[in-house]
Amino acid sequence: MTNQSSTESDAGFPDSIPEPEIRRGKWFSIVWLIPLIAILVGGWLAVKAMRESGPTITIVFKSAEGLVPGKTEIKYKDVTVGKVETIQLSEDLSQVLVTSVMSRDVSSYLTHDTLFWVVRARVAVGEVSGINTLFSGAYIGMAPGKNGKVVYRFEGQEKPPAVFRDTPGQQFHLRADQLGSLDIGSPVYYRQVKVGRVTNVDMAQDGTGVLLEIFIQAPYHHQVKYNSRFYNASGLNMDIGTNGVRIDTPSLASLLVGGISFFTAEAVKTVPPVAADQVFTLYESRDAAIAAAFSYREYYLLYFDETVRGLTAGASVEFSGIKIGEVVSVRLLFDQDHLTFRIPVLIAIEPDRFEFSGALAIPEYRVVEELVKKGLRAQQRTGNLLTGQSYVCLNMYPDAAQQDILTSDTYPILPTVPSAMGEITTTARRLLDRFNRLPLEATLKDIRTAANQVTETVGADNLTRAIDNIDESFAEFKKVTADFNNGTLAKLDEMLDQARQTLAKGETALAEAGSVLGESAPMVVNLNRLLMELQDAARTVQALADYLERHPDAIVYGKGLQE
Amino acid sequence: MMPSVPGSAQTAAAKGLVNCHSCGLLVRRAFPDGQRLYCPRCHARLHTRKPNSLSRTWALVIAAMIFYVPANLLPVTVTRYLGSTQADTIMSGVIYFMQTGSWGIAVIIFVASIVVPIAKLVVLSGLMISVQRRSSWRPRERAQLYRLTEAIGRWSMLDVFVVTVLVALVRLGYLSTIEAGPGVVYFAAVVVLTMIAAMTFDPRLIWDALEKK
Repeated sequence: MTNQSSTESDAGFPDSIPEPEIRRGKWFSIVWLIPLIAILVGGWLAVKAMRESGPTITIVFKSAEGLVPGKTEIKYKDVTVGKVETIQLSEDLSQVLVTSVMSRDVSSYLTHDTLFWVVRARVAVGEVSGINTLFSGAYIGMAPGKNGKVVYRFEGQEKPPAVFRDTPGQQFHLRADQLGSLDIGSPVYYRQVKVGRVTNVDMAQDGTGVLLEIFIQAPYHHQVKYNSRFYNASGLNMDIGTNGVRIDTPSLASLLVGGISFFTAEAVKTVPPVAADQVFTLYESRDAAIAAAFSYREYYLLYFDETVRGLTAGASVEFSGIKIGEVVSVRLLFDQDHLTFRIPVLIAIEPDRFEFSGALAIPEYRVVEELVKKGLRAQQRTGNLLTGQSYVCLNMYPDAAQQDILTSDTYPILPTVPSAMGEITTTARRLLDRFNRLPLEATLKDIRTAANQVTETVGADNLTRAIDNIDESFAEFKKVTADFNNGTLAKLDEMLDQARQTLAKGETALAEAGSVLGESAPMVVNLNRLLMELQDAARTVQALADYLERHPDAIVYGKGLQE
Repeated sequence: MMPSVPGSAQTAAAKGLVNCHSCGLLVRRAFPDGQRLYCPRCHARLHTRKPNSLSRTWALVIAAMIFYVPANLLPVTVTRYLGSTQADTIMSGVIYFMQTGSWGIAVIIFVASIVVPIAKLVVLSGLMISVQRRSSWRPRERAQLYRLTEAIGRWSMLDVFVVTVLVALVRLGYLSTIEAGPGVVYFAAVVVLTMIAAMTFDPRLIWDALEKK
């Protein structure tokens, strides 16, 4: 760019200044590669940023506690899938609008059932979660949705979902009288292995109980059968009895925070699968669950007119002495129409308690009806004479009056027969009634009339004649006796004489025998001598025995050595 | 203006002389253009001015401008503190220090990382535009500006040094670690490119315009 005249330079400088070498070369500036690379890198970064940035969503929370715009991340499975950009209050200041930029990876999972919740340090039942958020600050957890169209506004959850949607397993429904120490997140144990947790707790619509939803992880959800029984494993189950002290608790954690356990009873029959809408009963304790072995119950209503003193809820219902159910409730019913009291007793029969054989000719729901026709009756009986506890006994009374099962708007009603005591009372009363009804006065009058007639009869001639006849009879009798004395007695004397003679002869014979066996007879003398010798021998043996008893070693060492 | 400028004195170029950049040999300038001149002593190329100064500087400045964008958008530090990860860009770091009251540190980072690179890019661009337009406006101030640019250029590396030291020092295992983010690379590229750009710029061009007049 600086073209000066060559003459000037030639003139003004000495020749000692050297000339430059001259080479031909081509102009090429490599330096423009640098901005080219910069453009490429920058463009690549821009494309990458654009590709990675997904939709911007708004999550509505009640509170922005712990959330920092530009810093709080949205994570799924601990992978950052978004970042909170701004946090604003809603117009009515009731909520917080959290605007977040989501990663493109999850953009197609932002459906209406996607869940967002703030992960903070949580000391939940059974576990402590989100401890790291104590230092790192909260983050927003996400559970991606499965289906539905993509939306960009979400309601933030207050609590993390107890179970993620993609966790394999199954949900079950329980019903309990009261919640106890259970809560969402309470563990569920099977054989003391934690297999699930409580996912939801709700009050039954009629307010009579608590409904729980539990989630059992795969593969343990197969262990839940139709006849599985759930019980509240919270706390310590201690039993002090004649067998000693028994303490039963599934784990220390459940002792502290509660939990649910379940077991599946051994079944005689093949167990049907769990129905989709099956609601299991949550028993208060393991013992209660074992006792209430049979989940399926049929309810019947009994009406007693007599006293039910001693019959309480829980009393057993027996058939032929075998427990088949229990009394559910005993109430007192005042019939306003007839101004009478009746006692409705609700019983539950557990058909699983008995086994079946043979094929059923009639529909199953009509079995009881048929049985009632054949004489099935309920009766209240005293089970314990000391405590007066009663139970309900079902039995067949084939002789009972024909009676049909009654269906009411609540439960079918089984006919009853009075209790044994009641029966006696009734019978006695009936006897008295009958006795009362006897025509006593009329009878007495009849008797009196009869007596009068007798008197009249006695006074008549017939009687005198009869007496005369009797006198004659006595005279004849006397004559017969006299005849007997004269003849028959003489012959008897003769017979006695002969007997006396025979006896005398026998006496003589016996005397002769006595002389043979007399004291001086040789045989007797010999015998006497033998006896005396035997006596001596016995005495010697006794002496020897005595000595041996004192010195048993004499058998070995002999007598002399000792003395 | 002319008389006050020392450049109005006789120059080597005007006398047809050229100085070897490499060994300092004063060479009589050859005349034919379009040919390359080499130093007879050290065989380095001879230029009257830095070759392609404007276009090279432009290329470097443009590259630096492009890299300046990711340098500021991408995080320069990734801090892991008890499991939580926090990525900080240069500006978010400045804001952080401002919010926590460390105004001095905020100002230092802001000046070194934001003001200086931008100033360098602006100054270089301005110088080149003025040279290309053969402006004779305040050449001495422009020359001083150029020298300032060259002098402070390397101090923008402060950030890179800080990040390097932090990364090396803060390694407390799970408790806390600091890692260099990708922004540092681009920031370093910006600093290096502007430094080279300042070097490739030939301040004599400022005076050449005066000579032409």
